[in-house]
Amino acid sequence: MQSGAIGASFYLPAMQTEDLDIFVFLPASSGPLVTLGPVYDALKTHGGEIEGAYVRFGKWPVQILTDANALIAEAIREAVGTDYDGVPTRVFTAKHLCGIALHTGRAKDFARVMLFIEENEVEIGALSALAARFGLSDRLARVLPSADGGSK
Amino acid sequence: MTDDVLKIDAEKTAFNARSKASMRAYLKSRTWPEKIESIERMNEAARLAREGMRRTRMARAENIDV
Repeated sequence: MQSGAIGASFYLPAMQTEDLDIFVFLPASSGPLVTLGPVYDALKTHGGEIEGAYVRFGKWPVQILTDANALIAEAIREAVGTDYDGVPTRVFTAKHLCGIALHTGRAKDFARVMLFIEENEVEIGALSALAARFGLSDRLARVLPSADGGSK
Repeated sequence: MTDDVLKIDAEKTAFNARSKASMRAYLKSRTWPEKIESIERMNEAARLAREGMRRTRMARAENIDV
């Protein structure tokens, strides 16, 4: 009998297949279509293969996304340097990942924010300040622990 | 909170939606063996990412450039 994540995956798409998001700044759009042509061209020179709206590197599909709102733009600007298996890279801060999840607002996004909070991977004060600036305080209140230990 | 903070670029938002839809379609098209391989790669990638972040935090705590 299958249960848990594998059991659920018999009914729902697997939740943790490869899903790598790369965010890029683009000039403010002035026409009806946003084009990532120059970005795709650059990625092709590094071995990327364009398939639909994503780029494949080996077996990894990579989703290219844009700074569609001020929260994402701030997240890109304030991304922190780290490394992936020795390769320098940049990643959104925990508070920005949580803010974007709150903005997206699906059940699994709220669950992800709760996990960040439960694992003490995000500083509540910083996240609250970000949520207040971007009009997300009501959504954050839904996942903050209440005085009795549960979520509100 | 200003209007500028809440400003959304409709065209970029539409682009992001197309990109995500394309990725969802791709993921749904995978066979079960491919999905299992994908989850295994994702788990290994998550392990490497957490190791990288742990090194970064240690270096910051020791005030070392990385």
